Amino acid sequence: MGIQKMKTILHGLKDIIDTEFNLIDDSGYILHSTDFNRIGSYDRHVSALDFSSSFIIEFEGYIYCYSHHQEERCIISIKGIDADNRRLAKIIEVFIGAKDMGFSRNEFLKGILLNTISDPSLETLCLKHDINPKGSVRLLAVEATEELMGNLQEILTALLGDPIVQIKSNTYAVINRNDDKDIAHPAYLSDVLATELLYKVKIGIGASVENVKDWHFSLRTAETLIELGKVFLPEQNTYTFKDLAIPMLTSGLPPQELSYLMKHFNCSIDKIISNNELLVTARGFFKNNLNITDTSRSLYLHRNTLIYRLNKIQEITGFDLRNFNDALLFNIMINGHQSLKLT
Amino acid sequence: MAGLSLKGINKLYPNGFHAVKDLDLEIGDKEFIILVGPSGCGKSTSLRMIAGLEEISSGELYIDDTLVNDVAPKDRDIAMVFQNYALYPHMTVYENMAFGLKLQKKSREEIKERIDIAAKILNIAALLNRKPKELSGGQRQRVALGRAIVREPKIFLMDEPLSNLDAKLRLQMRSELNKLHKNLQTTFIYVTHDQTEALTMGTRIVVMNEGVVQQVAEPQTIFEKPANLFVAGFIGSPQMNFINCSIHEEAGSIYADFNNHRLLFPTDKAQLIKAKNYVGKEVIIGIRPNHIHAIAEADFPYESCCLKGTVEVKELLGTETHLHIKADQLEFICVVKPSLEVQVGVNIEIAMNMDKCHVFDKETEMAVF
Repeated sequence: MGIQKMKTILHGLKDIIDTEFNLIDDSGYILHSTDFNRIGSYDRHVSALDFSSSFIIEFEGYIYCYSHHQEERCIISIKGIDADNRRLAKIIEVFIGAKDMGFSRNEFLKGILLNTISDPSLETLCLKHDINPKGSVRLLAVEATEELMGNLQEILTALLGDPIVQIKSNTYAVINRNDDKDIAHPAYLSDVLATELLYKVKIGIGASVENVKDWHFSLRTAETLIELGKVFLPEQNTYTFKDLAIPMLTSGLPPQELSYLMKHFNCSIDKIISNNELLVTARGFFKNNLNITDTSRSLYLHRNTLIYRLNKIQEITGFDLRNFNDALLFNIMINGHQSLKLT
Repeated sequence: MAGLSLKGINKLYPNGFHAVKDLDLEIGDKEFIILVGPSGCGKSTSLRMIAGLEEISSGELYIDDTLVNDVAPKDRDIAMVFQNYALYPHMTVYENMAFGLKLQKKSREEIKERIDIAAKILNIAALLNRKPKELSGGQRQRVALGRAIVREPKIFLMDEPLSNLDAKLRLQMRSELNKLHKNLQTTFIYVTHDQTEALTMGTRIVVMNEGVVQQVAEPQTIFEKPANLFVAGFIGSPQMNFINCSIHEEAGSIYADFNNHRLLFPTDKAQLIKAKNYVGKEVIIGIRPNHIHAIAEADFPYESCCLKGTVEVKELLGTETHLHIKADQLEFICVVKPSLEVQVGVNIEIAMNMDKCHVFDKETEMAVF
């Protein structure tokens, strides 16, 4: 419902009920009023109104009804607090509500996820759309190709039952409540999607957040993880913070500073990157928490072979991966090298 | 039904990780081929390249003589079964099996026909109206297989499909998959890190390590004639025992010397060592635990191949007992009969059946025999 239409309705109401109605914007500016003298002036009460828990507020002799639309937020005020005007305010709320329902749940969710709804009453609006604004939620970004989007949506809906919103032509956002469902586990999702779609669907797992206002942040991190994952861990299909924390840090550094850092250590990291055997060994060693026994078992290397290779890495780079600090720096160097290649 | 040909296949990721190197492999129609190797050896990547889920960096992949490098996975006529086989929780078994076909816009009649056939093969016809939560682990796994079967693919690609099952169920499913392969008469390519699965299921095994194929052969050959030290160690449980030795000739006989011990090679093996010029060289002897015997149980001439050691661990497995024996600085595992009365900490004399030993070049780690 547009502002112009609301003006017409207010004008019509004046002929039925002899009271003052005002149409006011967020700043308190009176856009329209049945009292023509008030049009163009400011209602100073508006800044004091908090609509986060209710859309109808009684204040200083007026009843204020809040109307929300994605890009058009306004307030209708009715002069006089009595039973008739309260009833009238309720009726207006019904009309406004009807208008809001026209703004679909899906569009509303999309607005939240893309952070285009910056509204103080977001939580109340969520309840109107039957969305729980609180509780632990993580956003999954699921990327496929445009032609697979229809099937992808069907599978995600059938599998998870979580709300799904298309945020790009090739990406869905899944609003996933953390309830330890096995099927919501990234590995399950990835395998099921690959089985059904025969396509390497990429999944980014955003940070867990507690309030609807942070959902967009969780989604943004999920999308960033996919972008970084394609470069740093291309052999994987699902990406979490844990996998990509260091690439996130190195990619976030200005190239000049990163380049300076790399030069400072002067550790011939490119020699490791071009040596597949040593690269695989280092990655396996990190994956197994710097544990010699677990790494040699996992890579099926003799313990002495593993130690020989770790010594070789130390010889080339100066970093002894058995030492935590050296392992961390080595990891930063490997990822920094890759980050610099991107710039 | 289809055969595959992989020619010089490589997978090199942009981050420099060379996952698969020069993979050459011919897979015959209706074969049940197993790709086996440790974590990160390139087996899953190879399977995914066959599926089309990973791009091939270089090399050629043929399915039935057609080059498919640039063919989309959905057009390769394959079906995949993964380790994680989540079923749609709110759908019945029938609906779960029908789901993929509905996405392919198959007719209701065709879907029903395919599901009926698959359900009969898998013996799950009575379960079609049940929801996943009403099924046992094995039944769920069969439904997951059913979802692949109804696609009627030319090739089944399976990536560690039994890894999430408990040991008992895994054993049962192994034999069910073997039966399924016989019934379907279709090409199966199966990835596992479990060498027991590889030995019991495949018609041929491809052993991989660090992105490179180590050996391709029938299970028996892989076990009895490992091509190199890696295959010898990876295949077989308990693992093969290895001894670093030097080879010497004395009075016409060939001996392996180590840690003040001496083992005599039988004549045929001695001739091979001589013929291949290994006299005077360092080698690694490999001997499987079931070919090391307690003297009391040895049924072969053992006088020139004995060692004394101490029993460090005794593992009773019912049909056999594994003894972990320390002799000087070396550790051996040997398999003895459960009836052998021996306790941890006691000294024991063991004999190596040198007729069954393997010898590997110490530098190249390739098998001498």
